[in-house]
Amino acid sequence: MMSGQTNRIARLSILIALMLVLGWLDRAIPLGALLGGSLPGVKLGLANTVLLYAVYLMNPGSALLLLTAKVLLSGWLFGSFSAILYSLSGGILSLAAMLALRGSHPAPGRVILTSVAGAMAHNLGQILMAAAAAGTPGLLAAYLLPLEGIGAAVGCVTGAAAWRVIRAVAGRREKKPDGTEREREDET
Amino acid sequence: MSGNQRVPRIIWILAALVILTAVLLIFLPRKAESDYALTLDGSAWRGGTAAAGRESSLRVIVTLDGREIAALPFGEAHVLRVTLREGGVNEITLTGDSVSMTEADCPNQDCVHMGAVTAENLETRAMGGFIVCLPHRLAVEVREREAQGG
Repeated sequence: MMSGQTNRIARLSILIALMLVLGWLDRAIPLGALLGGSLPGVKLGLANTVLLYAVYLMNPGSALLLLTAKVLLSGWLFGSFSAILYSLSGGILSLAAMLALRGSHPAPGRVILTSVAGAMAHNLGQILMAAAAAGTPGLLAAYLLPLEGIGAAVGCVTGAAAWRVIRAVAGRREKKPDGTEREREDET
Repeated sequence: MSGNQRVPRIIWILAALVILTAVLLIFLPRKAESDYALTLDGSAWRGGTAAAGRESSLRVIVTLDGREIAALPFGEAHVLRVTLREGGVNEITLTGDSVSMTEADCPNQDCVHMGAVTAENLETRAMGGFIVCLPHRLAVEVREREAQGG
């Protein structure tokens, strides 16, 4: 039986790898092109499903770790320094929003709401940094509304997907015989 | 259900840092400014405000690092090339009824794909009157001419 620490490391590693793959998949789906190139940088944010899993079934420290690792590795593998900057800004605001809104236990409506908030906060963070980089406050106003609209929509999609996973995992754990052998998720 | 209720303070601190940094960068004047060279319609240009067009109430404002480097009347045909000292090149083409980024050597080409701004799509376009090349911190904005100066 693995020690708690090894268990945690293994679990986090798998989740990070999953986030990287989902991030790659994100970029392979040309959402921006489908919209006619009018909104650069709009993505499905599939990796957010993993963050939602972490927000609900792990402790906030693990969620932050997942986010940081994903942003750094993904930026190093697929992107540039600016990509890391934008993703980090978006990710931090997103995580703050999701942790604040998560509620006491997962329910479908709540999970989707949290996901939408996370997606919109993520986009806000990215736009803030983009406007900061270009020095144009006007960009904020122009870009904000359509991007947040899309963000809310994709937030619903990723939230629904995350809910299914959370429900399945949480349900499985509840079924374990004798409350003594419960899986320990949030061991620090 | 496992998982903590409270949001750890570190997250709030980080979030506040992000927002603060962005706001400061947006609204504080930049100290270091990029060196750049402009050519208008093929010949070197010092930038600034070009002769005002009579018909259109719209102007094309080009900013680099938040600082306005060129202002042209909308509705006249021009080709503006911006060359950054660190090596970036952007070409902005104005025609009788549009503005677009026709060339850029940035890796993602988002600015080129943003399409043209016309008087008709100014309101409906996703990004409004903006065409932005983020890696080069270059922004092209089409907006109403102000009554005095500007």
